Amino acid sequence: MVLEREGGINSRGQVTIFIIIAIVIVGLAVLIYFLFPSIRSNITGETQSPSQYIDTCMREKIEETIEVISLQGGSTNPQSYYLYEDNKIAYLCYTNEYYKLCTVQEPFVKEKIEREIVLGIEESANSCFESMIANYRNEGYDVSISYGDRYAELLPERVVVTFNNNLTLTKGETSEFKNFNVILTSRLYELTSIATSIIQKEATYGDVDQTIYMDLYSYIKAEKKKQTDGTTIYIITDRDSGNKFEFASRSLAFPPGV
Amino acid sequence: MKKRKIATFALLVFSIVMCVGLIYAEETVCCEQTNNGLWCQNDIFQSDCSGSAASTSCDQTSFCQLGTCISAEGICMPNTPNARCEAEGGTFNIEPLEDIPLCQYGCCIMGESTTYVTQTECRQLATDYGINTSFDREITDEGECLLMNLGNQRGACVTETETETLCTMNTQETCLANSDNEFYPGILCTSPDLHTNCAKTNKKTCGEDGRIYYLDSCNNIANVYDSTLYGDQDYWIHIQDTDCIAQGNSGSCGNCDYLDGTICSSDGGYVCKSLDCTDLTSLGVRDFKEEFDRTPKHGESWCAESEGTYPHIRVDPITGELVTNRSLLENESAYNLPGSEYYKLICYNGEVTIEPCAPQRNEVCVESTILETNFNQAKCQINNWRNCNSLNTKTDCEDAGFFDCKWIPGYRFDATIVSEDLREEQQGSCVPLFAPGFDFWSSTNASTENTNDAMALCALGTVAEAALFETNWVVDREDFAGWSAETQAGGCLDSCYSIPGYGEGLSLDQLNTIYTGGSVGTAIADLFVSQRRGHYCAKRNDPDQWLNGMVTGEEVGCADDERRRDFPLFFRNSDWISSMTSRTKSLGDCGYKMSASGEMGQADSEIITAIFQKLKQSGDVKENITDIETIYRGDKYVFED
Repeated sequence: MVLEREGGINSRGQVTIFIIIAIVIVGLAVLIYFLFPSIRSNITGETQSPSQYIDTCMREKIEETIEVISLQGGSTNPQSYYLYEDNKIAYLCYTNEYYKLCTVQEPFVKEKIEREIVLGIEESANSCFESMIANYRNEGYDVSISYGDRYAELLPERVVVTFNNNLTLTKGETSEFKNFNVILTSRLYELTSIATSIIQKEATYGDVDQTIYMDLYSYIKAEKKKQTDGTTIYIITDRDSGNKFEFASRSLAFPPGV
Repeated sequence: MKKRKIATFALLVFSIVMCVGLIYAEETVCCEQTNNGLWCQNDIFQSDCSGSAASTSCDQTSFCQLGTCISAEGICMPNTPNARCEAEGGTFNIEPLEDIPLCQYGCCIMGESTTYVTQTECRQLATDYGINTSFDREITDEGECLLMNLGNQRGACVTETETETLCTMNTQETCLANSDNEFYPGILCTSPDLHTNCAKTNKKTCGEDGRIYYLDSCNNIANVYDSTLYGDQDYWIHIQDTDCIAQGNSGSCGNCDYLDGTICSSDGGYVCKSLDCTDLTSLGVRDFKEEFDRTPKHGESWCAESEGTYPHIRVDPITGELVTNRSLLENESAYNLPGSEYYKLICYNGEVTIEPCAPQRNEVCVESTILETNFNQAKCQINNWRNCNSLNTKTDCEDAGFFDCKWIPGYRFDATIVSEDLREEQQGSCVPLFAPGFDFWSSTNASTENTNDAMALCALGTVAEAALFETNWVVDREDFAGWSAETQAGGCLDSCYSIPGYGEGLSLDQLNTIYTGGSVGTAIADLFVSQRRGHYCAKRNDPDQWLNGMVTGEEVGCADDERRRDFPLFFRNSDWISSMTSRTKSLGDCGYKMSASGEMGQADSEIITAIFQKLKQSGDVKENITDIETIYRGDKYVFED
């Protein structure tokens, strides 16, 4: 009788332990499955499409680059700038004189940002395509690629980055892939349009009432911060996403003394 | 011989300094592009210029000529240098933007949305989106463009399948891209005549225009939510607007109006949420409520009550003229203190943002209220203080439409004294009403120059006076401190107001009475005023020759209209000091006053020094009896400590 009871206790404890171990194993497997996409594709037998691969690989880098550019007046590395809260903010309109209207330094801000985005993601883009090629080769594909141009477009409510590369994958059948696009939801086009409008007014009148943009666009917060040396920092924020575009202007400045 | 040598030496030194200066001066130029990437700046050292350079002003060069730069996509930017425009691949046009037809803005209609751009930009958007656009150049207001009601552009897009009739709400262009579809403009999918599987529901959503809309069972946006119309058959047939007025946090009407301060919110059910700033803990809201007895509305702005500034300077909303009593603004010891700055507070979307006015009080914050709507507006207005010194009359100085200056009777900046008939209008100084600030605390070279400018400006407030005493042979001229009061004040002939305590205890009316020969009921010898007739009177028909002799009794017998001298600038020592200090403190961060942070400045920034000299009969100085001594420091005489 005693032996049966002891055997009963041991059995239940063992079962419990086994259940716990099983849960841990399953949990680990799930974790690995989601953290390592290549393993997932090996397990499921699905191969991520090239466009999906590039999208996943580049998306975060493009977002980071856009953020850096946006906080620095449209430049990855501003040459002429005002240091505001430890950020170098590029002058889009500037004069070194007092009582004078500014001279426009960046007439086409949208185009400038589009170029800077491409510059900023250059290395990452090369790296992503190389790793994708290596990935497919490891899976037994024959890979050939021809590199075309790459460009970024700021469009209403989105940013589109395009890589005009031609990729050919052969493993039994041959598949061709052209024009890799990464599309981000972003109001950078709208923020840039407002910045362009502000620069037009700074160059024409020397100042602007930035609240008019908040009257016109409910999702916009427009701030103006005047500095000691006559520089004005503009901060245009998309309230919905929190994304900002900041830039500097120096127009119709007054000297602090006589 | 010695003198010649000194003169020569002085001349020689001067010459050497001049030559050294000439050898090392670097030319400044108009620079096409500086080493740090700036385009077309004047006054740049040649060594800092990496592009083309010219010794003329930039507007006289071809490469830095300013004009309108036009991109291929139709963006037009004014005031752009030729070289910069070309470098960016733009087309340079010497004409101003408003004169270039390509650069005129209008309303670009793209399906259901609109945007305010140039016609070329509109065409570019059509290419980018692969859709048709139309451009309305008659609409020249961006707000009007964005608020265009394009409801009638939409309609029911019906697709018949074998088993059902599907419907989505779309534009005609989008709908008919599929030739199997039929489009019914201005009709909702819930219209019974369409026999669709879409029915009315109580579901709602926020539209892109910020209003609340009903959804049908197919998740199509129907009409603007109006609970009173839910049962109306036509309300679910035709696209229509509603007249209901959404109050703040309204739950029965979805006709939110962003400009009026409401917007669709899905928090806790769909309501038109108020965008007013009602949180009393937000910056400046409590001050606003105390001033206006309500919280700020969405879109309103007001002036912050910052330390050392005058709060809520009111101006007329139409004319901009000062409404606040000017005299309240004139206390230079209480307002526009060193370190103080004006700020504008703005309420939008329930949030208060702060906009600093230009530093060093180059701008001040003013407010006005639009009476019809009880809507408050503030703005940072330029402080045109630099013009004040050049205004020489009280009227010009205090012109109602130009309230940057105030008039202080007394000294003129050119140190002249005008005739008595012109005194009220011309005898005084025009100084800033809002004392400007100076950047005197940082250590850059530019700041050193600014400091020198500041010191020069404050020095405009410096004056020198010579109080002239006439004594007799029994008075020891070398012992001024030992003089009796009768002698100190009584013996004064000119500029007597500079004597500490002169005129004390007497009103201006009383002093005027004495000066014009009247009596105030007390012997003049018993008052701390001059007993010298020359202080009050000149020889008949000879204003430059003052009368000798003492005044007797209660009256100044000689002070009739023919012989009375012009009134002094001041009657009392206290008036003299008040005028000087007020004038100096108004010039800027000058004088002995408290900063915005509550710290008093240096007392040595306001001093009166005195030296006592013995004169010959000719008026030349015979000898200095004392050294230059400070008799007044900060806000009081040193002997008052």
